[in-house]
Amino acid sequence: MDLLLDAEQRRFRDEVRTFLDERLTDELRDGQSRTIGVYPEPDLSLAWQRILLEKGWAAPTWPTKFGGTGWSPLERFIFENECAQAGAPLVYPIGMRLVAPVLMEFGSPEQQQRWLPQILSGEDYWCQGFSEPGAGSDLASLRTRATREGDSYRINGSKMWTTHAHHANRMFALVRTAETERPQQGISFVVIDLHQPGVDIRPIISIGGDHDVNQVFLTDVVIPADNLIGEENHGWTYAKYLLEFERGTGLFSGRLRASLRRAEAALNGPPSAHQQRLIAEVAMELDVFEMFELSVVGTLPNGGAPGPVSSVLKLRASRLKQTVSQLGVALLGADGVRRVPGSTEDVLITDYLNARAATIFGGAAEVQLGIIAKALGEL
Amino acid sequence: MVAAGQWGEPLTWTALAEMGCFGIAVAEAAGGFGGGAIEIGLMLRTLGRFLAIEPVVTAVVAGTLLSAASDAEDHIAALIEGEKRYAACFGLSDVDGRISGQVRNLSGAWGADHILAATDAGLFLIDAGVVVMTPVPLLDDTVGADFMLDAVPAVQLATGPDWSWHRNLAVARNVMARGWQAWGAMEGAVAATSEYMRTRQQFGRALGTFQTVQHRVAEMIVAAKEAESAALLGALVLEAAGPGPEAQRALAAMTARVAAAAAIVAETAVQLHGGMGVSDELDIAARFRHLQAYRLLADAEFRPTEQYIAHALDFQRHRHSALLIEG
Ligand SMILES: Cc1cc2nc3c(=O)[nH]c(=O)nc-3n(C[C@H](O)[C@H](O)[C@H](O)COP(=O)(O)OP(=O)(O)OC[C@H]3O[C@@H](n4cnc5c(N)ncnc54)[C@H](O)[C@@H]3O)c2cc1C
Repeated sequence: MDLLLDAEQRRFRDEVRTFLDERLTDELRDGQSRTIGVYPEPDLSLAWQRILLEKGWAAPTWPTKFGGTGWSPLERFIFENECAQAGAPLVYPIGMRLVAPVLMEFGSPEQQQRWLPQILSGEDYWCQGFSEPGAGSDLASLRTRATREGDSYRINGSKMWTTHAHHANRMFALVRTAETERPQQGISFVVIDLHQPGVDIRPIISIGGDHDVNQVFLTDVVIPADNLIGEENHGWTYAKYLLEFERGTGLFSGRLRASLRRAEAALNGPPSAHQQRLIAEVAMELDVFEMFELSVVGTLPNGGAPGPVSSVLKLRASRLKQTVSQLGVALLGADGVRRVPGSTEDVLITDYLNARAATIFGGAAEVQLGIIAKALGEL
Repeated sequence: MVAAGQWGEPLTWTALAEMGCFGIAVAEAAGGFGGGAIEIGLMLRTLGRFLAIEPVVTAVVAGTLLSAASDAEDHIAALIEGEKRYAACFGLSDVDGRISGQVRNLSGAWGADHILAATDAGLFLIDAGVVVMTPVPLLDDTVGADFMLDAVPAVQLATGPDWSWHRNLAVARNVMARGWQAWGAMEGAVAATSEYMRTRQQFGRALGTFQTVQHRVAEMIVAAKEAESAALLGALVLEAAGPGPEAQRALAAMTARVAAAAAIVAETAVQLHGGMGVSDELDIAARFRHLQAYRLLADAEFRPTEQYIAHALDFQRHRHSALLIEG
């Protein structure tokens, strides 16, 4: 891997910078800098996604035949880094980076045609219906039931911790279609239109005090049978494929560095020797993480699945997210306890509180460690 | 008992008064129950366990300060009975009985009837009605206050040769009581987490049967035990030696280690509760906020390491036992 950018890559970087200078408004920047949940609110991320779309840059991880950019991994890394440093809103990944690869790999051409263009354009907003009250780390024990009735499925059950379900119009969900000895074998992967009778979405308030996640109750919800992805009872395979993308294809180092800068910007005046030490310790860890991220994601072919190393990436990214957000509060000193709504301090404190979820969603840290031990340690 | 996470309920304050919480720190001679460090500590530990977040520590500090006054029976009675609330403030200046200074994040001040200003010269009572306060929601779900005093008139309640001893005692009890409360909050978090790990089923078994989970719960227990010895160290040395350099050293060590334990317990409790830990469905998230607020303020306002350097290292006391105090 050659880190020294060649002339073509420098030209690409300059093109990205010029684009950001021209199209990234202060309003968008400001919105992103005040984001305290895991993802920005949809009006913000979708506004940015539409601007990217005009330029043809909305889907850097997609192959060109579906409207992706066809960039090399290093180009994507440069792009994400520039966007993060410039303070651009994060593009909502649940459609773009989670379900899209599954549709491309396992969906029928008709399904790809039905859903991918609307993900790209932002007309559809998706959420992820995997977890349930009784099925978190042990996802395969899920009980939401789908019963085949002619050309449709009738669905009953409840999904838990569903991020942005209250904004979404579509959910991809794991449902039980058969009672089998190995619970993994009776699971199917389906798409549910959320704007229909029987769908009841209730908010759950986070540790930081805001509303990002929900419990979704599904009562006699009917979906057409051709909303089934792939084969019935093979959903577990597709779910595992999706989880690799969830855990291992995000590029976070630029975002983490932007958070570091946000924390420094909140200081009144130059940092004390003590504060400098705190900043340096986090920055060193971040530098090393950036190298790791590039070496993993930077070797992936466009649209390729990262494999079990995604768990190492997920673990380190989530811990670093917590470290950086903790620094933000530590730098505030005694003012790190002040939660005056709308203040810079409160943004940092809420981000710090919500960051505790980073080692829980997408599979708890302990679950990642288990996967790492099994898949990479062959235990 | 007292509902967790509910702040500012007048009924809660009355219930605490009925239990005698506000008289413990008042000297017997002044009409209180004359409790020492351990009694105060045990009370705060219990409140911490139940996550009762009312500013009882403020009342402890106020009771200690009022014990130094010669003529304050009415105020002491009003404090003990919970009829009036007293905030306490250090670091203000007085000129001719008028008090000045800037106050930030003061806990127990919003809703107080009086502010006790403990200055170098003595104890002064300010009518809170003449102070313009701004309420500040704080990380631990309580409300603090910001205000500015500019030569505000005050009544002097205490002065004299013993005053600085009383003032130092109040400062020491403030630090000590907060540490005990944090320890109690940790015990509550440990109990709730082990209970959740015994009952929450995943992979067809209780989560507590996984060895990793067992080890993490064990680390929480070890940390809470360290907080316990730290709390004991601070209280026992303060009791034995009074608010002098030995206590300052012990309280610095106590605070540093309680804060370290608080971080481990709070983070692990949330992590092991999974999604439940990062939502307000249970009181674990509130315990996390409480313990992290303790840790942040302990670091930023008390600066335990600097205190330890100033009171122990600079005199090489750290080369000798912290416990075997020679009179
Ligand atoms: C903010 C947030 C957003 C989320 N968004 C979504 C979403 O959009 N869609 C969705 O489907 N889900 C979502 N989730 C759910 C998430 O995937 C689950 O919370 C996660 O899988 C953990 O499940 P659980 O909360 O039931 O915890 P549990 O499974 O009850 O586990 C509790 C804790 O026990 C420990 N533990 C569990 N199993 C083991 C083990 N085998 N060995 C050792 N330790 C173990 C871990 O510390 C874990 O945190 C979200 C969660 C959060 C917090």
